[in-house]
Amino acid sequence: MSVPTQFSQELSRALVVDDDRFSRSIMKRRLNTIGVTVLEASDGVEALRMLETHSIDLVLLDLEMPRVDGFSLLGILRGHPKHKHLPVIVLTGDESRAASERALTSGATSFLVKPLNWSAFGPHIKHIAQLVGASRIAIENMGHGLALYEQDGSVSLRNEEYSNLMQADPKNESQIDKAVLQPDWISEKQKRVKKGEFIQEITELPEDKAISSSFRPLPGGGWLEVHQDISEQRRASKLIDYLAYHDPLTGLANRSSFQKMISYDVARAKRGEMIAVLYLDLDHFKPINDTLGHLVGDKLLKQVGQRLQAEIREIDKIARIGGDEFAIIQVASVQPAGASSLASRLIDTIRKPFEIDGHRLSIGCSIGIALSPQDSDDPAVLLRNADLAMYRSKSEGRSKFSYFEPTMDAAMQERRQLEMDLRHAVSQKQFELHYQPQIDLEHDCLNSFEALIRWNHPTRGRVAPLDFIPLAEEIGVISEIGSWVLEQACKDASLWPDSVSVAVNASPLQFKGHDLPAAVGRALEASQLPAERLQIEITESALLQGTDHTLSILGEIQSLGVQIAMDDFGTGYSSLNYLRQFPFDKIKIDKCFIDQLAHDKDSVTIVRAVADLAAGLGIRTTAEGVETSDQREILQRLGCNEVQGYLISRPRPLAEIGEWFDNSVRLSVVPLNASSLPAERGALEPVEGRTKLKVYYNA
Amino acid sequence: MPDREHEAEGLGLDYSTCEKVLDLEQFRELVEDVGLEAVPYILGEFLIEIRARQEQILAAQERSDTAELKTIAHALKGSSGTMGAKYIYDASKTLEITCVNGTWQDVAHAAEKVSREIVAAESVLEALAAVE
Repeated sequence: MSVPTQFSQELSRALVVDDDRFSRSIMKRRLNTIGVTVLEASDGVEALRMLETHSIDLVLLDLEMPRVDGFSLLGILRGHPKHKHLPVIVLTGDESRAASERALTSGATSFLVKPLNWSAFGPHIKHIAQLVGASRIAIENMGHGLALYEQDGSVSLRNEEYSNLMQADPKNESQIDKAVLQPDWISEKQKRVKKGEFIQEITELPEDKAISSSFRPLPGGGWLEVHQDISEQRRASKLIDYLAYHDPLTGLANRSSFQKMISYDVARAKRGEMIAVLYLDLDHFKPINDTLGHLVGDKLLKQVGQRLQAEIREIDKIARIGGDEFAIIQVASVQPAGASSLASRLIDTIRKPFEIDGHRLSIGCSIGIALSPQDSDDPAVLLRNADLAMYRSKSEGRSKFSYFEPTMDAAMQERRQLEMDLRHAVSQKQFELHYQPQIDLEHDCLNSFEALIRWNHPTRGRVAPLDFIPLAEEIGVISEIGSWVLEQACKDASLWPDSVSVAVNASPLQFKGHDLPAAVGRALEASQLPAERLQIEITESALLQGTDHTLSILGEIQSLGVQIAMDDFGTGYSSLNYLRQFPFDKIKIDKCFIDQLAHDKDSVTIVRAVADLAAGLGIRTTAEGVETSDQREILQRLGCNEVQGYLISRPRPLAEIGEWFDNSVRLSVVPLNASSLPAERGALEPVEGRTKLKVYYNA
Repeated sequence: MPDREHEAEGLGLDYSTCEKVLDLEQFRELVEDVGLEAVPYILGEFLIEIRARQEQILAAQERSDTAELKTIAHALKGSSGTMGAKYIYDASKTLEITCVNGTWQDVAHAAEKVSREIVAAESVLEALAAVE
């Protein structure tokens, strides 16, 4: 069956039906000029004969003609399956409204009155031609198979896609994989639509193919069929569904579908069965991702997923629910023994080295377990509880599993509140700096103050640094706090005597970016404090994280003239190595070596070695945590340059350290057990222009 | 009417000759649409048409066939309108209407009027067709 001419070709052939030979002749001449071939008929009978024997794209029809007139011919054409959509332009000398209305309601495409306005005639024909072309293009390219059927079942219109969906051409490569409707199926539907039933169905075909079909009865009899190959849409939809519920990297379920799985299992758990939700977080994954790149990290995650999957039963369910976080549902009648056993196996399997791109990678996993119905039957709560338990495993040394306990929830709530308060504190500047003096042992004089931050919480009172600095680092506000400390300490120190420096601690996280040198520069500029009166103290842990980058940042800061001190010296395993890598100005010997100084020969040996080493390298030493006069005397004897600790003074607010600069005022030196000592323990004396401290301490 | 004269000149025709037969504006539109080179052809075709119609009118008059005269008048109205032959068009239109409403005497008068206009147009159209 062929596609009707008027929709399959350009406007190429017109039939002029007019009893006026001259008008036909003029019309022919005119249409020839735009490339249209013209056939002529002098009345309706002749026109019908022409239409039967020729392919006609357009009819120009006079109304008043002998034998079959224009109205009659129009009626015949519109009732004819083949010609019912053929464009017909009526051209007549009858300029009455009745004539135009009758012609248009009879199916004329347009109506023109003679004598023709020749200026308008050409554009009019072109417009009709464009409409014909546009209809053809639209129908042929609509992507749907479309067919119009007459009441008797004959086809009055159909496009190529319709034919394709009825029967694919095996010789046409592009049609080999096409979905095709079966003739029997079509026949059955056509019988029903003939009876006036509207049908809309999707036919599922082999190999995931599908065709959407509709059969719509038309008012004047006949019906419209529209079919669409929706195989691609189906595949796309399935992919979208898959991506919505799966992790594309590992192919495991994602968090969203995992929660649904928990709901499903909780709802279907049999009497006596318990559901364990295991929350796994990989240990030491981040350094691998950071140092070897995401490609290696991704491969590692895939292998982790495979190993985990190998350890669970078919009825258990597994998901990747975050970057390096996985979760498993285990339904068992023996809980928590079943979950414990599985958790142990999982830890063991992840502990075994992974071979990826020539790298032998060792990681671990920390697991938290929540049980249902014991801990909750709400999927989100179960997952959160397992997560809380996982954090317990992390904090207790990793590569272990922990069960959820209600107190964990309370601790988490407390932590969340503290987190909110801390963010508020940063914006409201609820912090204060306390200063602890560092004393030169040789001259008994004040060298510097170490700035130590305090948080004055409006309801909790004063919060110790150890209780909020790790949290500040975790929630990403440490740089903001660090900048504030720098600015405030420099500002305070700028008001002190020129001989007194200020030491500021820098968090390891402040060394991750490139902002610290700029922050130091800004603080110095704003305060006008000479750079050499500022010391930046850095711990070994900061050096451990990206040593080269950290050393580069330190170098930039030192180049400003700022002193660099290594804090907590001796507590790390490569302290000496760092001394070789960077020209520190000072090292601070950790309190752990000072504590036993008076009773432990090993401590004495270590401190002497450090002091000698530092002296040899031209680095000053400060002993931290000095609390007794014995410690002070030993440190002086061992060659240590400075002391800092409660023997001299506890950290004090800015308002209370002014007396250190006033040599006429006697000082309070607060030893370890301050309450048992007299209030006033020492005095300051000027020595060579510097403030000298004379310390009196308990006998 | 200098504008009309100008139009006639543009078509290579003599204005005073044209205006005896044609509505020059209608004729110009037709020429512009089909092309100047088609003018002799169109004029020739029109001459054939009106001569044939004149013969048909005379035959119908002899038979006193009002219906046939109406059909001829309608066709002639169409072709003369298309051509812009305004006097033939007007006479044909009158004949067509008279065939419906008038007496045979009125019809005969109207038919004679059409014939006279055709005769008057022939010589002019022949002259125009000869213009190169």
